[in-house]
Amino acid sequence: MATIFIPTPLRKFTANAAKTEIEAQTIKSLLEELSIKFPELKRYLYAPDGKIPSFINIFVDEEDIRNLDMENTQVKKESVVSIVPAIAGGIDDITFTKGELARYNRHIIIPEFGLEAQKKLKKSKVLVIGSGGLGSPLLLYLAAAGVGTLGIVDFDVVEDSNLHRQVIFGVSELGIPKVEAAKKRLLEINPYIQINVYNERFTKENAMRLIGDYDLVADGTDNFPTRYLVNDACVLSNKTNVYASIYQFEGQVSVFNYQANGVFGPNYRDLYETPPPPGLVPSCAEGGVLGVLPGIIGSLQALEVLKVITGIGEVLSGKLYTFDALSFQSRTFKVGRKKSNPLNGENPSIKELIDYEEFCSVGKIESKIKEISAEEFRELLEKEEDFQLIDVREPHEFEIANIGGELIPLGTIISQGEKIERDKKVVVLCKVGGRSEKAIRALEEQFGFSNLYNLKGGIIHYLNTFHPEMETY
Amino acid sequence: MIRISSSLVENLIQEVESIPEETCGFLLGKTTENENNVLHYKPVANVSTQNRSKHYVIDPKDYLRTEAFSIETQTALIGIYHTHLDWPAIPSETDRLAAFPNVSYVIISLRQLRFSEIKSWRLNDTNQFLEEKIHIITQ
Repeated sequence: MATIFIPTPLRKFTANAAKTEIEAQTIKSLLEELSIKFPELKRYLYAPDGKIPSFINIFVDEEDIRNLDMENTQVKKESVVSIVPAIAGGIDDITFTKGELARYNRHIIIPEFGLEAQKKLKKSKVLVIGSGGLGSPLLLYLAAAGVGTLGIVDFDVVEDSNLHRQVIFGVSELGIPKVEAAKKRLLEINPYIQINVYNERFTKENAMRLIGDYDLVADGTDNFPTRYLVNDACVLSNKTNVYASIYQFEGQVSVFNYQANGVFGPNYRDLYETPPPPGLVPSCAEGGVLGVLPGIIGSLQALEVLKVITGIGEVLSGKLYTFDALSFQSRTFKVGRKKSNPLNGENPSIKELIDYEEFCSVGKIESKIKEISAEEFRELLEKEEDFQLIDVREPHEFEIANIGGELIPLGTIISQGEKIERDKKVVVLCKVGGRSEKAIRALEEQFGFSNLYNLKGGIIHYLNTFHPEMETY
Repeated sequence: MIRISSSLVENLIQEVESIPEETCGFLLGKTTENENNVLHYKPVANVSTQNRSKHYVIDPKDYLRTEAFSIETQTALIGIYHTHLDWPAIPSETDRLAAFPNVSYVIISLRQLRFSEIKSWRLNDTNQFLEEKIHIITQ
């Protein structure tokens, strides 16, 4: 039996034993036996490729196995095999070229910031999810500030209606994937940084892999399923999530899952344990947004990212900042960890990513409403079957594009309920299908209609499919 | 928490201040449940083949000798110290990635080879460094 010497740092995994004995002919079989005997040692004995990791040296008596036969080195009965941690470290080798030093001069001369903070920025890797309204200022400022590596996840292409707020894009980029257009613009601002683009949807399949390559995440998404996904993936991978969101005239910012002194701060689920009922809070595409608002809120988000990276100032962890553009009122609320948090509360129930689309439609007590696809709707038109078409959008939207429906804005649908026919098919439409769904639910509940159909994808989808020549918004 | 006598710290600082590159060594002593009392320090060579003003590597043979010494003298290997030149006594990402659990990492920061600060760090369960208190005892 060969004697194995366990070094001090790893005795935690061997019940404090400094020595153990194992019967083996070679180092390879000895390590296998050793990791069966002490399973927790395994991650120190094997690199992901199955080889001996670089941070471990193995000596047989006085000789390093790297000078012998590596894993195939023979072990004798009287051999002493020592596991030796490679002790090393030092200062990170972050250096700046003359051009970079000149570029970042106004950062470096701030006494509390200095070269040290600038080095932290250069070394940091930030994943920005969504390159829209919030993502635009966020990316512009993070790139300009000198964050060394920026990852951008977005699956959209640039559309004209984006340009009133998504200031990273221009007219010449309409139709181009957002991540490509953003990368080009950012490198124009700062050629000293690395930009990785992911022209894909952020899903539970790729979330952990994408986040894994970055130090922290900035969430610039505009919908609840992705927001919960980003939050959960960050908590499950111990990453900080700098969060912001906007709606019409209001914005909010917070820093979630921020680790200070070994304790994690609250996360999105401490603030909102479950999503609002579907359809209650519309997205920017549905509810609209004042173009300058994401500029303000996204800039605040960028500020918090820089503070988390550099450790300067007081991070907005455990707090929710809200801003109301109309009254110019801002407030900061305290947010605490909740025992009931399903991720890291007292009885965690979520140990891996779940289906977020499903999660965000849970609580939908209402039955499923009837729908009609753009194709079916077209057939209905062609058949000249008698039906009623109700358009629940606002008058100004109706003016831009309409397909001859009766205009009854969502807000007045109940008071004008008598205008809706009962004895034939009624198709209800809005821009993309959210408001019309709400209208149908309200009408069904209030008046017991059973002949209402929601136009799937709204007027936009219908026009894009069958009348691409018509103007949309 | 680690406890260390002021005279030992003074000697250690005096020694590291004379070396214009990152220097390193071991801290040995007696441990109880909540306290680690440093009784000796054992300097070893920095054998890094990279820029030694920014990196340190301890020869595995020195490591083994130190473990053997600690068994002989019935002391415990409490930690590893190293200097940072013109850089705060905060572990770098390089330090973190190379770090092992269950030992203290004491960093001595020197500014123009003059002592500036000393801090001690330990890895937690999520592989982040947490600062631990250094209690300096004056006799």
